Order: sequence, then structure tokens, then C-alpha cells
Amino acid sequence: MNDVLGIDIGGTFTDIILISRDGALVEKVPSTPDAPARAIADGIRVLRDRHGVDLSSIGLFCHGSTVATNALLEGKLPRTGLVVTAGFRDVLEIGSMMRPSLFDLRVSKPVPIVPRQRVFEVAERIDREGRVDLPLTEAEIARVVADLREAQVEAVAVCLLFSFYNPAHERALAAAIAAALPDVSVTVSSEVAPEINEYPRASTTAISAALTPLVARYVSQIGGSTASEGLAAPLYVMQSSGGVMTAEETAANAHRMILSGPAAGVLAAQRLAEQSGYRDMITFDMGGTSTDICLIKDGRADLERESMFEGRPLLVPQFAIHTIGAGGGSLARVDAAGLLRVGPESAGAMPGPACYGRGGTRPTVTDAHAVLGRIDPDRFLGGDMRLDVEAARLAVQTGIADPLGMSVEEAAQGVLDIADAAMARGVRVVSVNKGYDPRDFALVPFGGAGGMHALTVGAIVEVGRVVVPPRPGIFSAVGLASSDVKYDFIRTIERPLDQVGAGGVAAVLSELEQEASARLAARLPAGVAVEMRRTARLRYVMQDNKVELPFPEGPVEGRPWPRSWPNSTKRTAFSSVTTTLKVVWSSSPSGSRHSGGSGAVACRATPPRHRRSRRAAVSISGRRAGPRCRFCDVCRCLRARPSSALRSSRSARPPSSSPPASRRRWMPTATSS
Amino acid sequence: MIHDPITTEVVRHALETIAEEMGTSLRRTAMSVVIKDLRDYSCAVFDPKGHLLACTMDIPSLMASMAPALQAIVAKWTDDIGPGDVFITNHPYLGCAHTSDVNIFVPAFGADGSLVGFAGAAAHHADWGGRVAGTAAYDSRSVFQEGVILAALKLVEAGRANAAIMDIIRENVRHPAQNMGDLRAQIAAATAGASRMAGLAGRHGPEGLRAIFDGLVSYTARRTRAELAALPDGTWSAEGAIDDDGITPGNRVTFRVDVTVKGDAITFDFSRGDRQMPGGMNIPWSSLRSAVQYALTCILPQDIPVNEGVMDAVTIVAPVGGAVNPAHPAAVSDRHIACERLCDVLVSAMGQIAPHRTSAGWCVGFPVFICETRSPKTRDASVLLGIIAGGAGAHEGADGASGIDVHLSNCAITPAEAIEANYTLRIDRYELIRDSGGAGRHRGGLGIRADYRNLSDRPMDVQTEVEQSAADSAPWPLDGGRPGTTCAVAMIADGAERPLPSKGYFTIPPGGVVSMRAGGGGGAGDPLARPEEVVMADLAAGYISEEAARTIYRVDPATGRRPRTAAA
Repeated sequence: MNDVLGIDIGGTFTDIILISRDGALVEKVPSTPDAPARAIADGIRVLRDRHGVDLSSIGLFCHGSTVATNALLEGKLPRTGLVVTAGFRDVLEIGSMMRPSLFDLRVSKPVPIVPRQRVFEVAERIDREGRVDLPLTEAEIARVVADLREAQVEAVAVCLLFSFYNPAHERALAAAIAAALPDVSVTVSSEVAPEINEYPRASTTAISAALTPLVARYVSQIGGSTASEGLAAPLYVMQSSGGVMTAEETAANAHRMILSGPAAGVLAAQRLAEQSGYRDMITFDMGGTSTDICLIKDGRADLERESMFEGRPLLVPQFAIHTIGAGGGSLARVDAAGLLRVGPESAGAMPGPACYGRGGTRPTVTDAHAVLGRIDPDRFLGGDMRLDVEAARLAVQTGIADPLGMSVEEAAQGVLDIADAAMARGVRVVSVNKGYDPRDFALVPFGGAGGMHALTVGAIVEVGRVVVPPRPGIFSAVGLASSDVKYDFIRTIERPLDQVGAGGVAAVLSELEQEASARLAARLPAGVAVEMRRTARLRYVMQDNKVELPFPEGPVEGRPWPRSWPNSTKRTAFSSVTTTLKVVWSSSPSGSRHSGGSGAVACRATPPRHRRSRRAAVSISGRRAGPRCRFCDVCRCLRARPSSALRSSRSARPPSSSPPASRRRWMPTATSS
Repeated sequence: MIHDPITTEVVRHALETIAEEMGTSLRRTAMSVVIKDLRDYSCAVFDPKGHLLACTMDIPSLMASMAPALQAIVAKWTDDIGPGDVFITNHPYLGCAHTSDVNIFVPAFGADGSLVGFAGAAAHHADWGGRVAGTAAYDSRSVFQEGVILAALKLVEAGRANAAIMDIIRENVRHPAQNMGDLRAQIAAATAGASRMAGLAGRHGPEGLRAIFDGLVSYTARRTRAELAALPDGTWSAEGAIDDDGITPGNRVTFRVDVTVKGDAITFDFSRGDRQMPGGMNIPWSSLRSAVQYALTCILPQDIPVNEGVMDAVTIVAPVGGAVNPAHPAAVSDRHIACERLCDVLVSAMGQIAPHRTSAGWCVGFPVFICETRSPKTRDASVLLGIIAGGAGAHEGADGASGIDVHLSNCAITPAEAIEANYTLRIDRYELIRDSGGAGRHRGGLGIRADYRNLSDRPMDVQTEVEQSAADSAPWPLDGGRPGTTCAVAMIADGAERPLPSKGYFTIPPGGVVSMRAGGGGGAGDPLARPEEVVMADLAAGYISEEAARTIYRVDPATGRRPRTAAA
């Protein structure tokens, strides 16, 4: 019951990793975008039938997916309504009132997630203390429900003023809507984003509501298909912050999985940073449809509490990840003006690149690699898939070489050059644009196509070096299998320190911790150990910004806070206290033979200054096959023996003199407390 | 010393990141709603001469006014600028915009002790003393009514705060706890910025860093001149008036500009404009400079970095004593209201030079609601500045945006919840005004209506100001479109609504409401050319009324069709 299964669904491939006492087992199966759960079932079948895995040994199943992001990016969202306090119908359209671009007289604002004709006002008012100022009447509720029914919405967001102090009106509306329109999902702001200021809260609620039907359907399909394959372990879904949540929580917090897929890769990279000693990295997660880039400084990626998604505020903790719409499956074409363009349109999983032989006829980045002999057609996906190089040649020839009057090889090289330039720009956005010099960082490529481009991109941006993790093709799935199951329970206090005595804190904590244990007991199998941690958020009176500090464990008595806290108990406000429970999985693989860091391949990407020609850097991806990666052949070419342009540092020590401080185990370690 | 393009680009982005970090630090540590929620501040970094290198993309009016303020400091203190110094200035006749915009600058030094530059944080203080709560007033008669003036002083010398200056500030403002908190936040932000600049100097060497700075400014100057050289030579003129001079209703004041492009240089001549006003809306030199920099930047490619180099090719002609560049001690505290109209005049001139980058007129009425109330929680008094925006002008490719702040301002709307939590006011509504956008093939954006209700049990004194209330001053249309609507103010009390004058001091009875209404942007193209389905969609969303659909767009709401005879 102690093995951990991680499954990461990308646009093109679905990656599977199983971590057990014996080490790690990895697989890659094609994604099935029309019914994503099918790929998961396929993967589980492969584990069971080909590898003889006993599914009952799996205690935890973590999943990452780009389903929410894709829906938002493509605008393929269900018909969503928004209910607001009367007078605030335009909360989304007015937004912050600020100009997205200062010096553009033709500037436009982001299109609201819910159009104005589906925003409904309701007469009610809660005041700043949470008292009911204007009661919400049954007649008002009935009127709004009728409006929603007439608008034929599939999902509803409810965001009323000051609901984070008193959610009664939001709850009454939600209950009435659920009763009258059972097929409509309802999302209320006091649950998904209980924070002051109506616009960011309404925006977050609307995004979450619009995603809810999709995400709920998605997790229930996955739960169903894994169960029917005989997997009993509960499903956990990766959040944008790198934590995981249950299927039920995911359906109620759809906005938390917007960066689910990419976050898993960042999590894995943080572990790699811990283990390899390369503390400063830029992750380069290039899949079939998109590439996610994230800067890790001193072993940690930045966690943003408030971010913007396509210009709309989103109150959810997430890694600071930059996404660009180009990947291995990006289609290359000659545009009307005779320019060669690559992406953002992708061949996806079906039909996929021409060389996949599934009927694709338009050239992709992967086809360009196939034409130039950089992928061994006989050993793709460990030999599970044969590449049709002739189909790739034909696609590049008819799509690009002929219209531009050049050779097929020149055309293929051109496609790669353009893809590299786009990627390099993305790497600059997270480094140079934030004032970091990429020369101080290691580029860490992963994802199916990351390694194919890391050296050329690294050379353009002049990163310090390129560090290839073992099994880069399934690196994100590794992150999934190494995630922590954590729950935060928060209580708002919002009083100056001098008004919060030891008794007050003790009472709040005891109530909070009782609730936490009770709720956790309902979610987890009996006998699973948990670790508890307390944190407090403080702020100075009149300021809004809060600072998070650890709060001592154990009984609260006497002076209830540490000596290091500010002395001015009048000018410091105790904002909130949080109890975090972390689930401790008692068994982790003891050996680190198969774990993340130790086997990383480090290469120096920067060509010597006098050799700035791109050829020198490109020669790495030569066509010979190197020693086979045991599990994943997608990354094989990167494990080729170093060519002359590349100094091998396979066993090189990290740049810092200190070796990895402690060989941390891959899984959260069990500590008896 | 030659620097590679990568280093220069890295430093440029590092400077922009320093400015952004300063902005974040300021917002997080400030105590007033004006900084935290309205975001009326700007942070920037400068070279040793006081030339702008990079700034936060927040408030254009502060962006170009910080450099002249700093240059006055550099001129005054020359060699007496050392580590641990913090400078403060707000003198409208010494490079600043108006007294409420308090500028803080901290010098940065290299390891060799040489000055490498300055980090600055400018922020609007909700009240800076003076004749009225909130300091800014359209009817002030001289700068001496506009709060305490600090002319390029050392607030901190070698790490030691000047207690006298602190005391003078504390005793001359209405809510010192808030001002002192905001000042400390500004000092913290600028100090952090200066130390990050010193870090850059450590990396590139003080000499190397200064060379990179020069390279950055000259790059922008070169790009700007190249763009100007590509424009045809000639002179273009525009004019526009504000509703009154701040003292006598209906006494219009006209701004006139003649823009001359010659080779790779451009001249803005304001000589033909009206003389200075008796009231408080005069536009001092640094605000004039901000308006010019803004208008020019609007027609430049967006990828040119904004720094001092933009102004290299610019000559401004504005004789002292005009409504722009007034003579000391003319009052200037409400210059922001007149500045938006000045920008409107400038962009209308630029529209003749580069029509493909401009639009129909925006709402430049800039409605402001000012009142002093006690916080319901802490009982501390403070001043609320409530600002709402109108609509943007349409252009030949798209409708104008609705509820979007204009030209030299770029403030956030203060959340209703933030206002209610901090003042004895309730926001009854923040909504878009139907039919306010000028009709056209492309419609102008809609203006915002904000209703402020007095929640206290006592009458509440308020000051309200709008411009662009005169019927002939509405946002101008393009190519056969219709103008947007004008701005207005109304009082709603005892069940009746009555219009208020565009500017004035009023008392809201308990439970009464002051309603501020911003105008909509101008339309572009013939309304009869707007596709029927787009008109019907506007109707369904409530952007236009049935009446407007029928009479202006000539679309029958019942059928969604235009009668044949109505076709253009």
C-alpha cells in the first residue's frame, strides 16, 4: 500500500511513473485528448500487464494535467453566469480601471470571462462588519434563479460584497440554485477566494466557476476508469502551487489546477536542485504543444499569491511559470507574406507530427528533427513507435522547402532555428527580464522535446550550463510522485497583538486543530501518520501586506508568541493563524539509485566566445545512439556520448564546492514526532 | 569601455526590475488607500545627472516629472551627496508637479565611493496640509495655500534623520500618522532600490555601469530620432478648452499647441495658449513635460525603452506666465485635471501626424470625489480620493474600452470594499453608463458611474470636481462617428436627484448620495455602418438602449434588422 503512482497528461504523451521499494518504473503512452481518462487506463494496463505490477501495492496516485489551462486558452468554456450585489454588474468589465498598456491609445481590456448579459444583480447587502444591512429576500432569490434558468447557464459564480466576513447570502443563493438547477455547478467567492476587494475575488470565482463543469467531469472520468482497471488508490491532483488535492477538492477548486501540469515539473526540478547541488536553475519543460519555463533561485521557485491569467487576476498560490505556445508538435508553415512561421498551432496527439504515421501531413518541429536524423526512427518510445522519416521529409518538402525554394535539410534547419529563437526569448523573460543573468544559471531541460533544444537555446541565451535530469521525458511525472499531501486550515483573527492574549490564541488553535483532525480523518485511510505545523500571518496596523512566520508548536501559554516578533503590540496586528497537516507516507524507496539527482548529466552549453557559430552548438544532437536509457527513449539522444563540442561532465561536481548536503530521500520522509 | 549587447540588455531589464521591486515594496508598506489601492505612485532609477533610466509603468504624470525634481536636487547639493543621504522635494516651481506628490530620492554609490545614480519613489499623499482637506483644490489662489513646501532638502543626512523637517511635516498635515507611514515606505523603497543599484555597480564596476547607462539613454534617443526622421516634416496644430478657470464658472481656458517635425527633431510650441489662471489648475513645467513625453511616446513603437532619451529630440516652447508653465506663485494643486485636457489636445495633434496610432477622443473629465472621514474601525480620520474613469475613444479597427483611466493618470478604481472598510461611506454602485459611448461603426467606450453614500449620522463635507461638463467639450468622434457624453455630478437625497455644478464643495446629509458620472469615448465611423448583429449584441448586453438602437443605429430591436431605407 506504499507505492506511489504519478501520471502526467501532456498534449501529446501521457507519462507514468511508479515509485516503489524496488525503485522507479516509467512508461509513456500516447495521450487521448478526446477522452483523457483512456490514456490513464492504457497506462495502468501497461503497468499491470507488461510489468506485472500489483495495483493493490499502490497507496497514492497523483495526477497532473493541462486540461484547465487549455480550456481557458482556447476559450472553450461552458456557458457561465455571475451573480453579484446590485450595483456591481460591471465588476469584471471595469476591472482595475488601469490601462494594460500605458502609451497605446488603441489599448483594449481583457474580455470578461462572463459577458455582461449573463451577469445578474441581486438586491442584498452585507456591511464591513459582516452584519446584514439589506436582507436577501426569497423573492430576490427566486428572480435570480429564474434569470439563470432562462440564460441556460451550465455554471454559476456567486460573488457578493463582504461575503468573506459573512457568507450567509452567498450560501443561500448557492443552495437555491443547486436545488432549482441541479445540473448547474455553483461556485461561491467566500469559498474559493475569501479575500477583501471585489474585483480580484469576482475574477477568481468566475474563472473557477467556468472551469468547474469541465474539471468535475474530468476527475470523475479518471476516477471511474482507474477504478475499473483495478486501481483502488484515491486520486490526488496537482495544484498550481505544487501541493496536491483530492478529486473532490479539485472539482470544487478548479482554478487551483490551472498550472497543474507545469507545477509538477517545477516540483521535480526543486528536488533536483536539492540533490544535485545546482541551486540556481531555469527549467525548460518542452512538450508537444507548449513549453513551460520557470526560474529557480537557491533551490526554490517563486510562489506567487496573486497572479494574472491572460490579464485577469487570479487569487491562488502558484509557481511563477512562463508558458510559450511552441513545442515539438508545433506546426511550421509559410505565411502569406512568404515568412516561415512555427506555432502556435499544434498537431497535438492526433494526428501528431507527420513522422508518427497517423495521417499528419503538415510539418512539425519533431519532423524537422526526424529529417535531420536527430531521432532514431527505430527506437522512438523505446521502440514502441516507429517513425516514418519519409513522411516527415515529404511534409517538410511540400510544406516549406518547395514554397521557399530550398533543400529539405535547409528547411528543416530553418524550422528548428525559429523554434529555438522563440524558446530563447522565453528563457530571457524569466531571467533577464527579472534582472537575473542566465550565465549564472543551469538550464534544466525536460519534457519530451526539452533535451533536443536545450543546447541550442542555451547557446543563444548563454546559460552557464545545461543539466539534463535522468529520464527527462517523464520528469514531470517524477514531480507528481514526489509531491506532498498537505492541508491548510486557516482562521482569521485580524486584531492588534495586545488584544490577542494567550487564551485567545489557544482557543483558536484548539478549535482549528480539532476541525483539522476531524476533516482529515474523513479523507485518509486509518493509520496514516500526519505532521502538523503552525504558521501565523502578521501585519503592521494600517498596512495590508502580511508576513508569514512560524508559530511555535505545543501548548500555548504565557506570552503566546515568540520573542522575535515585533515589540509593538499595538502597532502589530495578528492577521491569521494556519495549521498545516502534512501526510507522511511511511515507506519511501530507501535507495536513491533511481531517484532524481545523482545521475544528472551536466553539459556546458556556452560555446567558447570565439566560436559563436550556431553549428558548433548544434552538433550535440548527433545521430548516433548512445547508451540506452532504461526506461525512456525519448531522451536517448541526449545521453549520447558527448561530441567534441561538448565537454562531458557526466560525473562533474556541481559548481558549488559543497556536495549535496544530505542525500534526501525521494519521498517525504517519515519522521516520528 | 565597450559593453556587449547582452550585458546592456541585462542591465536594462535589471533596472526595470529594480523599479518594479521598489513599487511592490512601496505598495506593501504604505498606509494610505491612495498608495495601496489607488496606486498613485511611481518608482524610478536615474543616472548621476538625474536622467531617467527606467521606471514603473504606473502613472505617466509622475514618470517624467521625477527627473526635473531630481535635477534640482543635484544642482543644489552637487558634491554634498553622500552615502546614507535621503532627499525630499515637492516644490512645484523646482521640478515637481504639485505639492501632494512627494518625491524621495536616495543616491547609490560604487565600491570606490563614486556616485552611480539615484533611486526615487514619488507618491501622492492624500493630504499634505494647506487650505482644504486633500490639499488639491481648483479654486486655490496661490501655491502658498497648497500645503508645506520642501525645496530639495536632505531629509536624512548620512543616516541621521533631520528631526526638524519631520516635525514641520507632522505639524502641517491633517493626518500625520498616515503621512509618516507613507514617507517611511517611500524611504524604504528608495533605499532598497539604491542598494540594488550599488549591487549592479559591484558587478559591472561604477565606471562600467555609468557607461552602460549612457548607452541605454543614447539608444532610446537614437531610436526616437530615427522614428521622427521617418515622419514628414511640417507643423500640426490643435486646441481645446477646459470648462472654467477655477474661479469664474464658464470662463473657459484654451490650450493651443503647434507641433513641428523637422528632420529628426520635434518642437512643441504652446505660445498661443491662454495666460495663467487665477485658480488652482495651472500646469507647472514638470507636468507639461510629462504631457509632452506621454503624447510623443504614444506614437512611437512600443518596444523603445522609456528613459530620458525620449526627450533628446524634443524642444518645448512655453513662455512663463501661461496656463502651462505659470509664474510663481500661481496655484497648481489641481493641475492633473487640466493636464488630461492638455493631453487630449496633444494627442489630437499627434493624430494628424500618425493617424494609425491614435483614436477618437477619450473622456478627459477625470471625476474626483474628495472627503475627510473617520475610519469606522480605528476612528482615525483620513482623506479619501475617489477617482473614476470614462471611456476610451474608438478607432477604425475596434470599439473603445470602457471604464479605463486616461492619459497622464493610470489609477486603479478603489475597491468598494476597501472604501467601506476605511471610511464611513458606502459605494452603492460602480457601473457603466448605458448610451455613454459615442455611436459609430466602432463605438466609444462607456463611462463609469460611482455613487457614494454618507453612512455616518452627521452631514459630510465633500469636494467634487469634474471637467468636460460643457456640452461642446465632449470626447470628439472620428470619421462620421458621434461624440461621447460629458461628465456630470448629482446629489441624491430625500428621494430626489438634483444636478450639482461641475466643481464645488457640498454637504451630503446622512444617508444622502453623491453620484459621479464619467463620460464615454468618441465613436469612429458612421453608426449606420455598424453591423446589425453587433448593435443587437450591444442591446442585449445593455451597452445601448432600445431608443439608441432605433434612432441612432436605425436597427429595429424587434427584428434585429435595419429598414432598407436606413442603409447608408
